[in-house]
Amino acid sequence: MKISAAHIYGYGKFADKDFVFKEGFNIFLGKNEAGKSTLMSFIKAMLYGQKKERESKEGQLPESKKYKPWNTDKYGGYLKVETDTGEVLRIERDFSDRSFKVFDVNNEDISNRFSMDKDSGMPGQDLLGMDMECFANSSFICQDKSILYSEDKEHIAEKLANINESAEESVSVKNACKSIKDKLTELGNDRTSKKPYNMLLEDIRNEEDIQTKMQESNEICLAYLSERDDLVRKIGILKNEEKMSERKEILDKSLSGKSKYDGYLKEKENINKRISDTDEKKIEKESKALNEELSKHDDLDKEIDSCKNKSKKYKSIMITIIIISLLVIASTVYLMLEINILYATLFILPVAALFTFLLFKKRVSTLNVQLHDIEKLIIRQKEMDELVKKAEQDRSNRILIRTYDGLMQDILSEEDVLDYKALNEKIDLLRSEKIMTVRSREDCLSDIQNSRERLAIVQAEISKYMNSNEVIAEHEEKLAELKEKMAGLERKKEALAIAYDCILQASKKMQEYVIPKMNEEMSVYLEKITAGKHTNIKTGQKMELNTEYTDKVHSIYEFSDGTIRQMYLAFRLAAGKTFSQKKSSPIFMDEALVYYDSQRKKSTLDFLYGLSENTQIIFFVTGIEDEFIKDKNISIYQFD
Amino acid sequence: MILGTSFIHIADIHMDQSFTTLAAKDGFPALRRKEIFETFMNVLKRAENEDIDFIMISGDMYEHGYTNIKRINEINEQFKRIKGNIIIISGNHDPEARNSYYCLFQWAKNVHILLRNEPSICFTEQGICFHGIGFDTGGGQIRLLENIKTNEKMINVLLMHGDVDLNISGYNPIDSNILNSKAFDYIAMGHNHRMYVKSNIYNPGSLSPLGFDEPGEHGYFIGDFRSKKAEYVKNEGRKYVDISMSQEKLSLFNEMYPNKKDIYRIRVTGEKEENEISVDLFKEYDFVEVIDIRKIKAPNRTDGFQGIKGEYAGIIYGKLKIADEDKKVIYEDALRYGMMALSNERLDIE
Repeated sequence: MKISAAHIYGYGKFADKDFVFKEGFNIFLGKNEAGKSTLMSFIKAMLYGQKKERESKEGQLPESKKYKPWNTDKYGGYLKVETDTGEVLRIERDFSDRSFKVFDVNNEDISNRFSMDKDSGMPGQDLLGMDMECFANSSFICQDKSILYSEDKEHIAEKLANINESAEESVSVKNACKSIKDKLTELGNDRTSKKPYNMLLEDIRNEEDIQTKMQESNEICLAYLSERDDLVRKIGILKNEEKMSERKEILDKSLSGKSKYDGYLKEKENINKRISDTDEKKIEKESKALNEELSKHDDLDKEIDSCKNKSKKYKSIMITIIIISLLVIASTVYLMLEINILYATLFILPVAALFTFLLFKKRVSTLNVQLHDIEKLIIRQKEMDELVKKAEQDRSNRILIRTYDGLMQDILSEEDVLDYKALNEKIDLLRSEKIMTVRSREDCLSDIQNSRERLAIVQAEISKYMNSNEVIAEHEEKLAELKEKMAGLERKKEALAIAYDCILQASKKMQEYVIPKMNEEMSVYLEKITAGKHTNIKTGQKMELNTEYTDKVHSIYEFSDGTIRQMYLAFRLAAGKTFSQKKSSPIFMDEALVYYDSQRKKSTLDFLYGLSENTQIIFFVTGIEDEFIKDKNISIYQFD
Repeated sequence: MILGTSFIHIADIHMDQSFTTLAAKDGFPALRRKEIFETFMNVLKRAENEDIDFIMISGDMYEHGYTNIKRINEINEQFKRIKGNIIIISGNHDPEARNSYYCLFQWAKNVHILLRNEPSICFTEQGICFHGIGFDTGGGQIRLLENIKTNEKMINVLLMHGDVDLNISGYNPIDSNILNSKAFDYIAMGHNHRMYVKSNIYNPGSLSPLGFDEPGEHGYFIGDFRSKKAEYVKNEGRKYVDISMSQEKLSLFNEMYPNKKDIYRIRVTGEKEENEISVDLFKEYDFVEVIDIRKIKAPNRTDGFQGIKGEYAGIIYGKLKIADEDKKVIYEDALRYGMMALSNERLDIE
């Protein structure tokens, strides 16, 4: 493509201004601030549009603001170009409304034949075969503040190093990778702390803990409900058991009562059998009479002894009388027979003795009657004593029977029955119930009490849960949100890692395919620019740019600032050729040779002049020595 | 006196479910839970006010592990106020288990939970028997169907939680022909969140919609067993609306979807441009989730990047072509980050 004319309605300082371009070498001469950079910017903007940019940190205005017309409202213009196929086109733009049109020679709108980006059309991309960045990195060598200073060798070397990595001077693969690595570290990982990743991980763990605790708490609540269920059931069973224990106790008590009752009854019957049929009143009367009779005697035993002694004495006397009487009779008989009958008178003595004997006999008889009476009285007294004793025994037995009756009645009362029959019926009834219990009622009651106390505690715990406003779902949602954030972060990290790897891959590809091609082109240009002094520029094994010079390999850093600048120019031109995809592109240069010494300037201008046979060159410069341009077909324009 | 046989049939309330898909708007999931609870309460209040004789809940009344005892108590208090009987079966979200509220909570006297070992209850005065096939952790509840003995002299109602005519289901799958062949006068289904009626099989669907996969009408049945009438009552609450729209048509959204209470998810289609999708369009809506599924512009080396950026873009595009949908987002980000890094721009990534 070649540019034939430009008309500016309004752009920076220019208003309603025409410029004409020729094929071959065009030099635009103008002092500082004459508008050289403005015209270059206009051409670039016409071909690629103005990028939407914000003000840079250094305070540099974006182009759209920087080149707003000073003296007119019209912001735009048109460019007349001739394509490689000879077609003449008119590219029109209004930068105010970002409108863009391309007309052919018949004024037909053919804008849609050209590439568009989001803001506007980019005919440069189709006509030059380069996107804007490539164009800016190659054919469009504008006045760069950073290379205006001679000491900035490192800066240019850095650009060349960038070229080595990315084939573009402004793209540093190393820096791009570093910024991605830094970002990855900034986002955090398992080895970092207090970074977004770590903070998020901590939040997730905290939220998981809360959720786990809440779920556990819910489980505990359900466990309490279960325990309450168990306790209520247990208390029911215990109550039933306690009732059975109570019935068993009643039965045991009734059986014991019955047993006692039976014992008392047997005792009573035995006592009844022992009671005689004595008449207490008669005995009392007889006793009284006997006592009266006895009161007449001091001591019956003594009286008996006295009677017995007297009777014995009287009997002895009687025996003595008998003996004596017999002796007297015998003596009298003897005497009468032997001596004198008169002695028969002596018989009076035995008669007297007989009378005496009879007297004593009568006394003995009286004594015997008396003794018999006393003995009879003693017997009566003994009999009376027995009778009295019997009567007393009967009385105490009757009291005993009454006592038993009372005890038996007490048992009946205690068993709450009317009589013994009812007691037996009650026992029969209790026995008819199936009482299955191994525990005592006391144990049951104790268990019931314990269970009730536990139930009260469980109920209190359940009440606490009843008043709880905790909602598990809310925490799950929060957790899900955090996890989503974490997934987002992980995605970003993965994207960064992919970007890192792919940049290295792209760089490797560039080094393998594009850079060698560019190095080749660059070496050809460099040889011409340096008038055969340097013939090559290559990438070494350590990815450092170097050149073979005087049969030795030198790092480009070993060369002077001026040589490095020539290398840089060689690169820009080689890049233009490499990127333009066999389409021709004008080369724009703004003060590109300002720091070249005259030898370098000459060789470079000679090279460019040679290049202008096939390539339109638009060269902006404040001034140029005649010796460099004499005898050359160069179109020179002077800015007003 | 003949006692009434009016009924309300509800299912799948899913009280206290979490709504992670709505978590993007702070407080909205909690609001949604409240609305779902209130909708359920309103149905119960209707039952109270209109003296409905039977309220059937065919499973998934609550979310086991999420619903707390306070909420169960609140429902139970409302059950107490109802004169009629409440018949409940368990669902797969509130299964019959040793530690379920169905087994542990002291429900009101008019609440009858049909559990595995007591699947039937008869109300002789009304002449109705209810049989239940719920869901428990053991599985195989459907086999209970063989053992359920219907009473010819009574109205027989089956409450069941499961899938009808969906054989691959693991949730009590059953053929509708088999169900209809049984002597049930009304089959009160639950589990499937979409309403359907197949002969005497009635499935009300979820009482309130619970997600974007539940569009359409939701509600419950009201009717009378004796007169064999059942009418569907629509829930007038929010609906879920899941739509795809191209970015150009987004400006018509307000006209096309004027209901600002509904819950929207919009998948924005088309080609991705640098300008973000404006959310101002939706500021009057209660909930709008915008998912940007716009595709990155098809790669074209002639109008794309050149040099290392072009090479880099080419590598990423190559990966994008064969990537699944999840990975595509990552590659799109990778493309952006890589370009920013190669352009020496600051990587503004939060």
